[in-house]
Amino acid sequence: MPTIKLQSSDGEIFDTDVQIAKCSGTIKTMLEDLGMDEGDDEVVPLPNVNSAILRKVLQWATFHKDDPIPVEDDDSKEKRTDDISSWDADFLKVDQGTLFELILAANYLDIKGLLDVTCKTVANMIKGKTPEEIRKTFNIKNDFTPAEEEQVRKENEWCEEK
Amino acid sequence: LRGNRSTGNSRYRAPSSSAASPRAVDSADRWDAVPNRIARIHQESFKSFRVVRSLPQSSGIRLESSGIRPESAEVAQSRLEPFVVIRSSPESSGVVRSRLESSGVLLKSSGIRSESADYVQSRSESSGVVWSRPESSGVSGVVWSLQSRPGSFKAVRSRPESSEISENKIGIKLCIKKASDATVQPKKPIRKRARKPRSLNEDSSDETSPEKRNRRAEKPRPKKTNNNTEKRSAEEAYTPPKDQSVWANGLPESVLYTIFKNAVQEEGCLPTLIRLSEVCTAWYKVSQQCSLWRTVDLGTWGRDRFKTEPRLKWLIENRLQHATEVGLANWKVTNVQCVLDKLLEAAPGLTTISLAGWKALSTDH
Repeated sequence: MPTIKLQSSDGEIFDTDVQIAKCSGTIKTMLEDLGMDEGDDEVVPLPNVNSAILRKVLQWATFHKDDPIPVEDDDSKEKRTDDISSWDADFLKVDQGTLFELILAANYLDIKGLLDVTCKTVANMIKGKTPEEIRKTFNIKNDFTPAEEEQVRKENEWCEEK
Repeated sequence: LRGNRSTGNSRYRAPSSSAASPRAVDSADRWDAVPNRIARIHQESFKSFRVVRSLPQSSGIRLESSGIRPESAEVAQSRLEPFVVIRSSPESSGVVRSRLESSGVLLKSSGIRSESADYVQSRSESSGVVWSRPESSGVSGVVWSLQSRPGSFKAVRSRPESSEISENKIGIKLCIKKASDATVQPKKPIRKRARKPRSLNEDSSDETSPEKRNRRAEKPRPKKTNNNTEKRSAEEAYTPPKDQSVWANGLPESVLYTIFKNAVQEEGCLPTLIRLSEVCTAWYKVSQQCSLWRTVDLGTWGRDRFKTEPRLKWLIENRLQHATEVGLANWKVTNVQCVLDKLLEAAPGLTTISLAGWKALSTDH
């Protein structure tokens, strides 16, 4: 089976099945556009992904390598956030830092399925929470200036939010 | 300007209100036009309304009416151009404040407890609805009808449940016709904001004294300046928090958008997007994207006192452009056609709309 070498930001080389690597839109495009031939010993550098995250990403991609290719975002299709498969749910039982890195990696590598499932996971963490609870959950600081905060409050005053 | 005792314009006049109107008619109502397009209106009801007064600073009209106890009269204040303010004291039968920016009417009615007052506002092009509410301490409704452009006024009505004027209270019905030239905007709008209803304590103070009134008007100004200065210095001193979470500023907007989209997928936008907008500046920015606002139940999540037409227009213009399902239950809309047209124009993808509780809705729409 043809393989390709992926290099993480910290220099580790991952010998990867091309088919699996190609679930990343970024890598797929790179291979096709640059005409990298299978069997070449060239290394694809991924400066935005460290080895720990790349390992996770490849683990996910390996499990999902036979998934149908996701179609482009279709708004008419009713999407649900509770349809995360149990394998994915287990896979994503990670600390927030890792989840965050996975989202960035999925975004950078253009892996739609992984991005979807990670975003859904975060969405589920947000739902039903008040702004203060959300800030607490993600350790976000309120960075509005007093004037901005007042403006937002005024803009939202019509809504029975609590 | 001239007084018009007839209230024939009010299409939806509640019978009980008109039954009470003779009382008002018995009283003298006199309108004096004064130079500079200032209207002076003086009305004496045998027991209740006493003063109606113009506001010189604008070409609008200011009406003041006091109740049995003159000292409880509230000073009404007009804002910007052609515009009428009517306010009666709690002692009598309601507080009315109206605004005729474009021949619409803003009305405020309150009972003995002014903090329980609710108001209805309409600034539509051609009609206004005025009503009073019963919650305000059982004081009966007062119907005022105001007309700034002959022929353009549509309807005045008092809500059925609030229209009975009780035996021992005074109700009056007043129709004001303004010469059309009075609708010309004054060069210099003096005041920016109509005064809010004051607390009970303040109500009992002597407000008919012009001196006091002046003091009142001046007082807020230095205070405001102080506030602004404080605000400014606070702004300068403001530094963004250190160690901001990566969840706030480390995510590309497109990713945050995807997360938000998932968060509103099942339960609709409200109140989730409102909450998300209050988390931090980055989240605020993404939450404002109209394409997130698809299923929006403004009926369930709007606070009743903010369900006004101007607010709705603002939402239509700023939030609902990609909406497919909109719930507008119990929003107080007078110019139904105008709002619906606006909504359809702004939100071409609209498939479902709920207009439950729209009082002005008819089959024509």
